[in-house]
Amino acid sequence: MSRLRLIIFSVIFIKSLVIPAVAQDSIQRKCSQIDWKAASHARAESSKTVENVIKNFHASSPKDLDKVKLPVLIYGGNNDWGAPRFHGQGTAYAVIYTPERAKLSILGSSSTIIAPKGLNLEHEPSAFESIGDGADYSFTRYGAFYTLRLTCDDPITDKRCTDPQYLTNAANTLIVVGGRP
Amino acid sequence: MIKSVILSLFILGVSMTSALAENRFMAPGDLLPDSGKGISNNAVFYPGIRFPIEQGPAYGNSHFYGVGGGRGPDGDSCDHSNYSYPWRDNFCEYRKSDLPLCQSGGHFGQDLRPATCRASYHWAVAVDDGVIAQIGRFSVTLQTASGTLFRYVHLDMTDLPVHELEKVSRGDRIGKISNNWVDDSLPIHLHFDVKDAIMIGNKPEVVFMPPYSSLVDSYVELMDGASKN
Repeated sequence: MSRLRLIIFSVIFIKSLVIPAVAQDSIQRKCSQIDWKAASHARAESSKTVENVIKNFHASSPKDLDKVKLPVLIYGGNNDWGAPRFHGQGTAYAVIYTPERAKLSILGSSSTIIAPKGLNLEHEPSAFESIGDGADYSFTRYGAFYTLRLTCDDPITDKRCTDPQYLTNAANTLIVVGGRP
Repeated sequence: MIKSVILSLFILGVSMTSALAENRFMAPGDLLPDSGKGISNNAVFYPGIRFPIEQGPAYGNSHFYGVGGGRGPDGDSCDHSNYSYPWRDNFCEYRKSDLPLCQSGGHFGQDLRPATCRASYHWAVAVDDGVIAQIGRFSVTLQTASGTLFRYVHLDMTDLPVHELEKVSRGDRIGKISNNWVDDSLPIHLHFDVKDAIMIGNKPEVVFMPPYSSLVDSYVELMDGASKN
């Protein structure tokens, strides 16, 4: 009996000296609460002002648009970025534009990770972030999450990718064209 | 007594199989000295993802502070030390500005070196099912149905097997790992980053997430055939 105790003790003691490099905490993800009332209002408003943009988008028959469970935002400004291409995934979507010598994606989602204990916000997030071959502009609207991801053929010198104002302006033009609860 | 100790060591040896694997990885947040202040939280934010390089071995370490890197010791970036264990976290490594989740430092991903120092040979693969949400000058973004944005940077863009808005499945080839950048100064490596929405307190933020623990987890699954979960 005492020998067995010695074996168990030895194993437990020596194992306790081996500290795992990565011990896991469990992570939860939850769906966000979408403000559909505000999104519907915005959609109605934009249909008055940029009717053609909305009409052209729907004319491209965006597949599964109405299966997207968050407000689908597209570009509503005056730049000629070509026809948007759309892909819906239910709780996320992507719209891609091709401005000259650049690419712009509007990426939306409706779920969020719950931060584990001990993970803190050390600095106030900036909507604009340089990402090497371009820049991101990320924000929350109607309770959903969006990132405008712009990449440039000349990311160091192209002001569209270096000046935060360009993506800020683009974000300000976004209009609601679809999605439903 | 001696028999007992031998038996203990035998039992320990069997149970050490997984523990030995840990010697391949430094802890999350343990960055190279004077290279930034990492995040020591060991949460696996993306459990079950596929490791983003098709075949191992692979080495997670800093291209910038490693041998031959921009701020590393002089030498060839193909130096053996860059292609050796243990892995080292380099999320939060010093850059121009600080990331929201980092005490100080702004590197928003993890550098991964493939098995050998050979450009345009080793494949980066999809970590999860999703859609190719953007192809940039030297990067590819994968968006999952959860909205997570996984990005593969420094790929050989002349030989991509994927197209924009194409659906991909976990493990599908995305592109070959290279050193594609605005110039040819970088070592061969994959920069892998993740952007997601996270609720911190009562406020949601869209930020770059620490990928190290998830990568370690997926690497162990790839190399050892079983997740530590």
